[in-house]
Amino acid sequence: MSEEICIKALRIAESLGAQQAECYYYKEKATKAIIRKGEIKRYESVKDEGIAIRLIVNKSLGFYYTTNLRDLEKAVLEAYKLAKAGVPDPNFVSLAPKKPYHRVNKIYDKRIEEISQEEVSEFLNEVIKRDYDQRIKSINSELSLSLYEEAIANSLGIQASEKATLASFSIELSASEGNKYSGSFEASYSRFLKDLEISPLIDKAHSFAINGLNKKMINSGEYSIYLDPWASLYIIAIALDNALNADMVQRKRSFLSEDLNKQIANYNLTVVDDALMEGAVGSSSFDGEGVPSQRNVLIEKGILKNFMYDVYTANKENKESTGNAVRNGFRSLPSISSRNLVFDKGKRKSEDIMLEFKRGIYVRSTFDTPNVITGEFSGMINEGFYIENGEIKHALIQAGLAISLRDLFKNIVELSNDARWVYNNYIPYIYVEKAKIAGK
Amino acid sequence: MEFQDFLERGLKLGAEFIEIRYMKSKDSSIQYTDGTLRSFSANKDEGLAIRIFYDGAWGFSSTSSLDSESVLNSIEQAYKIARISSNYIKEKYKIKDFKSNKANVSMKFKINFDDISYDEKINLVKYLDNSIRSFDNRIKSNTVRYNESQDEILIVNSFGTEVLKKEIYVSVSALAISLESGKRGRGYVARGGTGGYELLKEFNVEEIGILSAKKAIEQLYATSAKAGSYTCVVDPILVGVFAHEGIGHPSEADSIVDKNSVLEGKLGEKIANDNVTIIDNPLLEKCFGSFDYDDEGFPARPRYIIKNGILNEYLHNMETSSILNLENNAAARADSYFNPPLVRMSNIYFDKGDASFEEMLEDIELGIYAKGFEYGYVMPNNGQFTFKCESGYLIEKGELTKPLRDLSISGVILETLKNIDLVGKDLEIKTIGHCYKERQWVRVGDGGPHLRVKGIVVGGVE
Repeated sequence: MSEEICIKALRIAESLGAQQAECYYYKEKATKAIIRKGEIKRYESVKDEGIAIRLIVNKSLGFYYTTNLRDLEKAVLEAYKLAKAGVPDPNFVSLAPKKPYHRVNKIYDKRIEEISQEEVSEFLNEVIKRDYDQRIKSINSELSLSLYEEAIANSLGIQASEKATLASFSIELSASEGNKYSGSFEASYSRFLKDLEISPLIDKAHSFAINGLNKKMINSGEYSIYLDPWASLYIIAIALDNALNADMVQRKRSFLSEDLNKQIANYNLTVVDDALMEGAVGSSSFDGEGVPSQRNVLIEKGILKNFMYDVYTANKENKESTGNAVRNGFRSLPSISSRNLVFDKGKRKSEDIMLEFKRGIYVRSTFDTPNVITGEFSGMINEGFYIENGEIKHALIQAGLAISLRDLFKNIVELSNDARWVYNNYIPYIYVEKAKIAGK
Repeated sequence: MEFQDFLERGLKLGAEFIEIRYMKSKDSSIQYTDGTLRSFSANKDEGLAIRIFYDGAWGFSSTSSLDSESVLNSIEQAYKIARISSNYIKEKYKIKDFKSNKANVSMKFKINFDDISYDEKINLVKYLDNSIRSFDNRIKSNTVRYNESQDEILIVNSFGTEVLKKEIYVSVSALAISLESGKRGRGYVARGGTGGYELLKEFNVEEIGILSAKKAIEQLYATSAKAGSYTCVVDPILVGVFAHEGIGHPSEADSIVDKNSVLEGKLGEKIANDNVTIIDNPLLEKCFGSFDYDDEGFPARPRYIIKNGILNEYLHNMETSSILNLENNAAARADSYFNPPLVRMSNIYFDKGDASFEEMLEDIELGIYAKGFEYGYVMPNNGQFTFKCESGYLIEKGELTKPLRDLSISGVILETLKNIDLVGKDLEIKTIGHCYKERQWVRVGDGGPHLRVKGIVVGGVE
């Protein structure tokens, strides 16, 4: 049914005289529960449906989306008018060619489609009825379940659709004792409800929030650092997502623009973008342009092997798209992004690695991200701890971290053999030799 | 069926309060990158949001299908989820019996976007794009954008409110990337406001492009600041961010109710020097955060959050005003029909004082002039803030000397407020900005005069 709407739109586009056209359909049913101060504050139920058209006339592309599916003809006509009024793009070659798909398994959970509101409430009891330390002053949490369907068709013969589910849970705790404050958070994303972590995450955030109350300033200087997967998300994964985006690279906006096939990191860093991983939140059979999903090695043993392409940037270099055109529903154009960024694990457990720290900083989280143009990172440590002789001594207050990503990549001493998912990134604990810490 | 029939249906089911918010938006945007038209987009987005209050609980549901059956389903769904969640709520409250409001308002504009041809708009963006790259050959890449939006919002509720409002916005932005012998720089400038296409004739488009290019080039020669504590002179853009992040968010009464704000329990207390007044004003002309009625249908007014150093009021919606029993000052805003209204700011700024820029620099032996804003955040529970600045200068012996890059400033809000020793007589409000909260983006404005603040922690790579 959804593919038929797309095909119908293509027929209209053809009759108008479009050179090429693509229609993307998206439908979502989502339920969200919002918890504030440890009580259910509100439920939200959202039904959303719409189509997005990309249409080409004389190498000029028009994009139009609408929620009004009854008036398909008008939507295609609007896209046509935009394309017609636009200026030809000499770099435009074609939309995505047709190719066979590998179906990805385990991205749809029937239970999420069928769950009742009452059952959702039972899940929330894990958050609400739990015992919290008296020093925990605020408990904010969200549970969200979504069922969505996407379909795509283009005038080169692509025609595909897929149904998937997504569950997410997040918790934010803040603690205070006298004039000391601290806070922590956790989140989990999964395709299946049974895989959604709730209680263990509350435990984790709870213990970080309480331990974070014992805060002290440390002396400025060089320290070894030990990055939690949450810290690596902001310092490394988000940076790679941008710096390895072929559009950023082609426009020389990435600090890694000139580094293909060069050693950019220690041999122990291998990063793969795998859009075909069973059950992973970034997996799907096809990307936002209908290109088959694939597994791409980005960094292998420290050598930069590839960038992430969509059809447009790939055509510019006479290459094939790597399936990295990502859509965020029907309201925006597809854009280049990683699918499931998977870091190779090391040999030893994270706890054992930490035991060897004579004097170092465990960086649990930061909200700063590197400047992708220069590759420099300088930011505040949101949650961090001072480690001495393998033991956590106290939390940090007002500590800054500064390091260039080139130095960070080269100074990775070890990665742990335990890794975890943070959003669509699978990251181990990472031990880095020497970073500048600003304190007293 | 009519909206009144839908409201009736909700009340008949047992709702204590029901609100229907219809929203239709029409947007268009043009993006040029490196001399090529990269996207030319438009859309029509239309849908309904239903909110029902039942026995201390809210149910929210939204739909983009507008046939009677879908709307009735949404009403039933909102009622059902409100009922279920009321079983889990211990601390219950009632929504106050608010007065109804009736209005039909539109933002002022002279030229309708639809009366300007596609060609003219494309040419404007092309001209902006060209003004950046032709300025200097060290500019290696750039992106420019044009956005226009026309929203129509109707709010009806069981108090009898019927507010129809039209909101019209336009913006242009320019990003320039410079490159010279391996060093890179970035410059970004955005202009915009509420109103029609006439605003673009008021801006000097070429100047926007050149300014972004100049910023990017200056960064090539900037050095990092040495980390430490300094007396800082802060420019109006960064002052606006401080007002927004540092005072605005903690004054949103939902964070007071949730016990997640440093301003909780401090109403009437002196929290800043006498020279500090902070206003959140939705009635400013042409500013991005302006509105006549909020998204719950209440008439807007200026809010004096801090008056001569004293915490004067919080920002409220129906819910927080009911829970805390304080006057509702119409701060409810939603970014779309698929999200409920939250307590949000409009245009927040520090009021002006009497110091000149020269006076501020005069007796600084070694300090920092911090300018512009890239991103930032505040920890709500302890008020610790970090702002990444766009650029800056070293101040040596009362003079601006070296340009700085990768500059960030941080501190604790309530301490910083007391360290403001001079407030400038210049007042500049940035008319265009966006604020993110609980997955919703709303348009805002912010600003202020230059401020001089002691003991700001400056971070740098060195």
